[in-house]
Amino acid sequence: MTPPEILRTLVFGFPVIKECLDTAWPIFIQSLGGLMLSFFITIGSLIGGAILGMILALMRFTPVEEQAKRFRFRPVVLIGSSVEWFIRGLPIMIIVLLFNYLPFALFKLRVPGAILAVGAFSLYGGAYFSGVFLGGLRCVSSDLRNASRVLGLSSLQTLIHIRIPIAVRTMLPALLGITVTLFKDSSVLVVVAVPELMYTARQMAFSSPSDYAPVLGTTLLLYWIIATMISGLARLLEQHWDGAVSR
Amino acid sequence: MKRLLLTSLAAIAIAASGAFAQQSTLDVVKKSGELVVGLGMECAPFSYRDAGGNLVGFEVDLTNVLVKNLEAYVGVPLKLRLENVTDETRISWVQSGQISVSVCHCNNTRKRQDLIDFSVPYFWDGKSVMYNNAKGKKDLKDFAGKTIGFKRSSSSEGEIKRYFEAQGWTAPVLKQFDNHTAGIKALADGQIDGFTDDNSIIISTAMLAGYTVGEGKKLNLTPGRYSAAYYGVGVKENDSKWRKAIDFALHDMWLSGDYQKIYDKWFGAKSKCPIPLGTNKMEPFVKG
Repeated sequence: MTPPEILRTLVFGFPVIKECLDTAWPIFIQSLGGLMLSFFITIGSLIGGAILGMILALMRFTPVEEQAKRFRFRPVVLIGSSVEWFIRGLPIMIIVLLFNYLPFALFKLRVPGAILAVGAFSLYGGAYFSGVFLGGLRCVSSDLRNASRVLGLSSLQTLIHIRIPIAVRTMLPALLGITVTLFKDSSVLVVVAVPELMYTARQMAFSSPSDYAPVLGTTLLLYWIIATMISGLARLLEQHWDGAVSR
Repeated sequence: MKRLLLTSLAAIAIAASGAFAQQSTLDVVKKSGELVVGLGMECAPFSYRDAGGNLVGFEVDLTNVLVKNLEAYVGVPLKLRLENVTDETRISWVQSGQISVSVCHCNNTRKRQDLIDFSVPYFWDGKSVMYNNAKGKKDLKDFAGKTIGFKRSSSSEGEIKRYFEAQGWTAPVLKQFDNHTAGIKALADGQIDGFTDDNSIIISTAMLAGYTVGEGKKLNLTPGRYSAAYYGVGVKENDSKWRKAIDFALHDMWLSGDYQKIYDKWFGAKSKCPIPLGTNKMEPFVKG
């Protein structure tokens, strides 16, 4: 294969095999492949993970006023913490394998691999997001909130002008870090043959072994460029805010 | 009260037995009109993407004929559905019923017989060790204590260990590779002394990678084999009705001459990896 062909296949995936399509599910998701599918899984799991992470963080969050009462039994906090604790202790590989095995084994439910992948990565990302969100919720001390109230800001104004800006600035670098991890970790999907970037690369390398080195080289570059772009964005934002603070 | 308890217990037992009764895959396929075939899609020449991105290979052609032949035994027109499987999923998905059959260059081995059942073999092969010809001719015995590469989750690992043990030779150092291509590259670069798996796969991978294979060429195979390889269609354990239908469909393929045509296309004299049909004789299963 020529270099442009290799690059095109890595970015858009191999042509869809019509016998693989399941008409009961959105076809456009099943026709994605290569880097595009990696993007879809990253973005999908970002959204899913953010929702799950927020729920877990809100469950685990105890307002400062309540932290003094140390020995009060709080089942919601316990549930939130145990879910987060459990998922964090699992490698992504086992989550992916279970997501691809259990829906059919238990409920005879046939779900396309790309959708299961988004589910698995949302769960995985959700556990990490919840920690970051919790940090964001905690980082605005009650003193700061009281101070803004004393200065005459309403609680809504405090939220918009004080709490959210501080929390977002604290969380964003960590969130982008998790995004890079999700993007790179999507490569474990080779074990369940979801045709994302790494699987496409493998398939190409094994189908035409003479292209082994160029295919792996191009894949490496693609992963590296995208990961660098996301972490570059994080650094830019940090610098931007540092400037804003010192001004 | 006691009677009520007993009645409800019996009712639960009946309901449970109904829910867990083993339904033959044949009936499932008949009801849905859909044959779900688990196909690996990254192993030349069995099933892979060609330069144009099309799915081609010996097992792809075999599957297409298998669906047609099966219609006679299932009794309804069948639609083919493909599921892309890997070495991790080709057995577990047969067990869970996610795929009706698995056609994924899977060796019928004693260990795998505990997990699923296999049809009659649709491909016969053996396992030798591939080596770099630069250091002279070798046979299996010369690999005692040497480094041999094998592919992850291949049955060759246990089999070669057992064979060397049985012969009383020093055990070879086994090095695992994720795939055949990486192993063959490592062999050509001199990182390992030998690489082993089913001969058809390693020969065609080496040739597709641009190496020559044979006497006096870049790479060569030991004349001795440490194990036979029989590829079978994977079906659910203890589902005789379904296995019989698959077996008969494969028999029909042989009788109609379709099998020989497909074989000739991929392993005939003009193909990239010529293996004359009938040269592989029946050999006993190796324990391991």
